[in-house]
Amino acid sequence: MNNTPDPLDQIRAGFFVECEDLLESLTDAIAAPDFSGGGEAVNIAFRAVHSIKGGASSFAMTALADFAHGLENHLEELRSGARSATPAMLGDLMRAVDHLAKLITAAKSGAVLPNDTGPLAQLNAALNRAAAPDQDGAPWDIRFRPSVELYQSGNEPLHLLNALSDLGACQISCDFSAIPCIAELDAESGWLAWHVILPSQTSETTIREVFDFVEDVCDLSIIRSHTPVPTPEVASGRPSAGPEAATMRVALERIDELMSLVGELVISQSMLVQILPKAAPHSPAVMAVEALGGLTRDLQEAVMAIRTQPIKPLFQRMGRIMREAATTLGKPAELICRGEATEVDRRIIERLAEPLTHMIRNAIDHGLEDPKTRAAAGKPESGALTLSASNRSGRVIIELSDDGGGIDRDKVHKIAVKRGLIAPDTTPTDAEVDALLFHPGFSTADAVSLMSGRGVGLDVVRTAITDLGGRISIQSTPGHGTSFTVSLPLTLAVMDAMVVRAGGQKFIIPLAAILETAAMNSASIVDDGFGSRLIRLRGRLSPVSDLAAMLGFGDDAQDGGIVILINDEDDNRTALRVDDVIEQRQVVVKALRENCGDVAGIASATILGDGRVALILDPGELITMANAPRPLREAS
Amino acid sequence: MLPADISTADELIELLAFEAASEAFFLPVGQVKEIRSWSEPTPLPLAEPAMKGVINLRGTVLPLVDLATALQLPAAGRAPSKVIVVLEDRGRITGLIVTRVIDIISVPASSLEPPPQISAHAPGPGIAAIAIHDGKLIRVLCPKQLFPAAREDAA
Repeated sequence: MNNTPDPLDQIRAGFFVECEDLLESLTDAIAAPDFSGGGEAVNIAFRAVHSIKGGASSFAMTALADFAHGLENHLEELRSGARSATPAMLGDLMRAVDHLAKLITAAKSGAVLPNDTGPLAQLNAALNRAAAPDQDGAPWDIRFRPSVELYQSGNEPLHLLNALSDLGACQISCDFSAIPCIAELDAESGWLAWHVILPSQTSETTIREVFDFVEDVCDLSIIRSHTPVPTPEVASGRPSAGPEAATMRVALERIDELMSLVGELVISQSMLVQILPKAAPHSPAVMAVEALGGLTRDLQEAVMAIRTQPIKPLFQRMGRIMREAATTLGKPAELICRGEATEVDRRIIERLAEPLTHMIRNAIDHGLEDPKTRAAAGKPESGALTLSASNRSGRVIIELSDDGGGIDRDKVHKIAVKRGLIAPDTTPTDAEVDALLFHPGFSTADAVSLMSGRGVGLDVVRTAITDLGGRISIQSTPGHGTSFTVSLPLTLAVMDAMVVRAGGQKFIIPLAAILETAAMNSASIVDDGFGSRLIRLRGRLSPVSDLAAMLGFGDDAQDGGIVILINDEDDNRTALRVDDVIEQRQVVVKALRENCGDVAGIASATILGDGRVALILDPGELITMANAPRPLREAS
Repeated sequence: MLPADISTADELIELLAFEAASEAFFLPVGQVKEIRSWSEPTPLPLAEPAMKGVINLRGTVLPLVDLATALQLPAAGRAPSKVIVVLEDRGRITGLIVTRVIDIISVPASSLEPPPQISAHAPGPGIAAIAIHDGKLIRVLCPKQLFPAAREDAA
């Protein structure tokens, strides 16, 4: 704030922001169905790389510019039709893009990466493998008309077509034209013909082998097609140079500021409602304030919509991380992404990258078996990770599943016993064993591996998710894989909550953590004989803690009031005794930590209708506090 | 340690003077964001005695630290502290509860010197620099040492 930013720095920062968008459209273009056919997608990819190159050279980022230049040359060959992309090449192209992304990150941080031409060399080799299109680069055009003898000799066209499908992604169409009208139809004769288009890289001999035994009982022609594989309708249906919705780039801080101002407006509006005389409910002033309230809510939603963005760029980044991890660990794998259009608060997306990266590496390192084991289990050698996002009951659900061997529960159990995490004679349920993976410092890797064995375990992932107001759970089927489910709030800015009173103060409890509220009466309370009280709720005895006493605002021995049963992601529970429940409402979440540091039992703060600050409780920490021995304050 | 902006010799620097527990303290005006009248804070749980709670400063949650308590000044005969000096230190804002704001004075930067390490009386921790100006002792506060949140960072 005190020194004016260097204008060149600002332009540089703008370039890197642009690079992220360009990388996104580049990755999209390569994955587009019309890329192999040399459609518009190739042009998009070319332009993206070209822009990155241009920017990089003007900022003298030589390494980045050189690599982008090399990549651009390859794309140019595809664009001009001098070569055509093969499926095998797409993998190499993706890896080259990954390297490009790495170079961009390096240029941003000013780091110097070792000069690595590997990705380009690979791509070059792939390009050379793919032959020129005018000759054998063209797809195979196979026409196959079985004669009646083929059927009579016990052959089945379906098997032949299946065998062709195994050779590559082929397009099969059936020709019904020879079928006569029903009166003339001889059911014993053969009337059908098939037209198959097969990708170019299969050799003619291989195709001929499929028809080895039937060649003399059918009409068969196998030629190189001179018309390229028709591109899917989706691609041609989209106008390539149509008008795009106008957009502009806005600094995130400005949107945050807007959001916080709208939050102020919401508070001021509710203060107005409280000040207005209740006696005249239909006075013009009351009606005007109500109208203002409606507008304020609309404004709040509109600003919130600006803050949200599709989760797709994050998923694309995870694709890069996955390929890198797969290469390092020698476990071929692919990432299938679903629900990329799901919109999430930008701040959540930012803070999700780290835990998700760790989860992906973990899935490849510990989730997937090595290719040999997979082959022995009858699975494809290449593992499959599925990353999906969806909206469910006002929350964002992110799921990461692998098709690996599942959790080795015996091993987890043994390690847990060895480390003293559980008693040797207990027999925990499967879910309890799985939950042990989240225990601090737990790692099932026998040796510390390069990828995920950096001393950070899944507990770090869980902490990061919990800090976002989210929860993470794990499901696993032995032999079939493991799946992690992360549930997150839509936004960090607003939260559904219950306002309670305890020790003369108002506190906010996140609604997501509340299991039940009940009146506190002596009938339901049990004394445990050690001076603690228990209450039976939801089929379980939970300890009762006086909220005000826990936070140092009052004495413990209060009776009456309301108990609120809260739980955390492991379903640890505690019942909080409060004096009163005031209301249930949405609260605007304000950061507390940045100015106040960590506050015991408190996650953040909000501002109530009267303009005063109220503290938002941290259920997880309160449960830990309630289950811990008596606070030291009382002892001292 | 002297703040960088007051170490240049012969420059005049402006200090805001205020009173807590009947004693005068100073802060460079550059560190002071604003001065506010009293509003009742929401207390924080299990907080240190000097941390009086938080108030709403136009949408930001502002912690209030009672200066006299933070400096462990004797409680006897104190006037109630009801003025809030809002200051910014490395991106954090904090409200300092003082009795009243006195004045703004200008002193040559060269007259400021680090507080003596051992002293029977104040200045103790929380004082960044001292000076003699018009025959009076000027004590410039060090926000970093005063506030609990800032101290955690240093640890």
